[in-house]
Amino acid sequence: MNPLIWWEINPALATVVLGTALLGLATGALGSMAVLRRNSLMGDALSHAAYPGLLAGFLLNGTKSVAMMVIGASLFAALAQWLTGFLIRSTRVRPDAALALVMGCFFGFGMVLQSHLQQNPSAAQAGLKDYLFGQAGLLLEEDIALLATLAVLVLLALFVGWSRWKIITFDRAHAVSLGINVSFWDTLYNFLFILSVVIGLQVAGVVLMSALLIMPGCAARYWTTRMSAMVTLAGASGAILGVAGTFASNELSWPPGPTIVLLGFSWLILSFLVRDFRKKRTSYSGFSQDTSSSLNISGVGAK
Amino acid sequence: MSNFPDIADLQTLLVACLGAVACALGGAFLVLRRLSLLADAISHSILLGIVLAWMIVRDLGSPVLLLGATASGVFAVWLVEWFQQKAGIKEDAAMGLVFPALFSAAVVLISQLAHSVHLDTDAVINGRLELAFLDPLILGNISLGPRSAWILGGLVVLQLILLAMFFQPLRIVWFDSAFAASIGISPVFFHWGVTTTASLTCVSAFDALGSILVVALMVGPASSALLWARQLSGVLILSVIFALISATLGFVTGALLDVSLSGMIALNTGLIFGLSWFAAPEDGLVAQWARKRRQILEFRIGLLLVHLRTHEDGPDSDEECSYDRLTTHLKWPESLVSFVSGDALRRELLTEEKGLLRCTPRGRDLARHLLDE
Repeated sequence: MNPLIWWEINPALATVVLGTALLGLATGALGSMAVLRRNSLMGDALSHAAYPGLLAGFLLNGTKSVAMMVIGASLFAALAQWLTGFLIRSTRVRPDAALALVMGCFFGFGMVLQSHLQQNPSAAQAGLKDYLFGQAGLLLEEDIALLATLAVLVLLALFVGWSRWKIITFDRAHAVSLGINVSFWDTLYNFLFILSVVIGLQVAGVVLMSALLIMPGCAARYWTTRMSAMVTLAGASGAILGVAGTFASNELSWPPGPTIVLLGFSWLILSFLVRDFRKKRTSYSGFSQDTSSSLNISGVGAK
Repeated sequence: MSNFPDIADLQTLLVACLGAVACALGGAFLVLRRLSLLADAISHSILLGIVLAWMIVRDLGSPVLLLGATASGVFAVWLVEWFQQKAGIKEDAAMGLVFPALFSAAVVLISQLAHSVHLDTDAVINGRLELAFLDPLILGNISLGPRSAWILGGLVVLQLILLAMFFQPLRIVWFDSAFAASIGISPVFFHWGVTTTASLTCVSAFDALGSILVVALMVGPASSALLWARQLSGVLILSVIFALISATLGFVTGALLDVSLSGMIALNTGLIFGLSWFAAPEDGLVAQWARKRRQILEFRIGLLLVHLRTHEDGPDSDEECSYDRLTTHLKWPESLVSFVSGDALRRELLTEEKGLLRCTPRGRDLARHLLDE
């Protein structure tokens, strides 16, 4: 079917499909780098930390202006990220505790702001709660422009910075010795990461945002051992999951965010089973099963 | 505001304090094992257990719901471990995969049952501490106060009993599990014991406090306590104290400003951590700064002593060791020379005679030591 015709038949659904596909593409590609950097939970922490910023942007402006809310949320997320890093560097607090602590306190502030907003209810603030669980169904055409910008930015940055990011991801010290400006590329990566979390909040919500970032990457890791293939596959499967999840949620009238996450989880399990099956087959034709698992053929899970 | 601390307020405060203590005790063990984020994973996963249990018993007040919730919390921990060990996914990613998946399943189920069940996903995140007093435990005809207070109080007592029974083996397992295994204490048993207790804590507390506050209370007080104390008992006691302060301060400020109590308590755990970070001995920012200043001073005294030692017996000692000329030779400003030499004089590493500085025997030893002679 010609997609343009279909756009005319159901423009609202088409908008949502396009939006989730663009978001899935951006977060899948960017998130797989987070998985490789063992920084998967940063997305979860940042999405919680961005919530008060979103509300503060709304409070300052009084309307649901997307620009103000994105700016507020980005500032809070950036502050949270800096604070987490500073905490880990300057105290004995471990990374896991630092993340949980910053996340809990920032979100606590968000709850305070939210309860403050609820005391003077206005028509404008209706729907602010959607950011907790996401409302992909409410995507508008101007959101598509935002999501498309995000996807283009992410792809462009990946294209330009690919070789540097690859070296930084796998061997930071080596990257420094080569004279790569590590802090610049880290900042760019963090900037894009925060931007995709903040923009993605509206679709996936605070709780499910992290899944959108890391599920495609984790699943892609089962299919390949090359970073280029992994990031490509993660981006592509993120987009496909977005489209498929939106259609499924539309058919079943399930909430869209959780549907996409459940589909992604199924895709992850499927990828694991295929990998497992292939691994077992290899091990029967030569190695004993024990050797293959201790050799860790796929390379994942080495501890 | 005339009757601010009325009975309902005191009951709310009681629930908040009991919840805070319960979370802080369980959380300390998670933080020590670098499992802080399990609190996050568990508190998001229990919703699925509640929904599934509800589908079986069809009664929101049934204790089976709590059982189901605890089970799904433990299941989440098991799933995270499975992903790590069998599916080769790193710990951080494993957690990030499991709880959104379980939470999504719960949200989808709730959306399908929306017409028949009043489960508010929003309340799971935010809690309803403000309404806890509306749900009293009634025995016969007597109202015994908020039901959550009884549940959380029972949990605190249970945790204390378990702690008293297992404190010694738990301590060994927690800090050296290989040694514990070698003397016949099972690390696996204690690992699952603690995770189950943590899950039970999340379950009992999330209804009143909300899942995010549970995370903040499990991690915040324990992390603050770790900055002050070096012993497990000290960490536990301080965690409880910090949790109580957070709950009380959060309750009072929240009630005065008329905003979310849970949010305010979470903010206060952050505040206490911030203060600890600032003021704690050794790890605090002030202590770190002071230590750095001290090290710089020590280094400068060493420099001065080495300079004097090199020149004091030489032909140019009148010039090089003159107090007035040190600004030129060490390229230090006047104030720094007087500060450093003053400190060295006080510590009897130097003596001064007619404007000439000389090392004392102790000062000479130190300089010799620094020069590795």
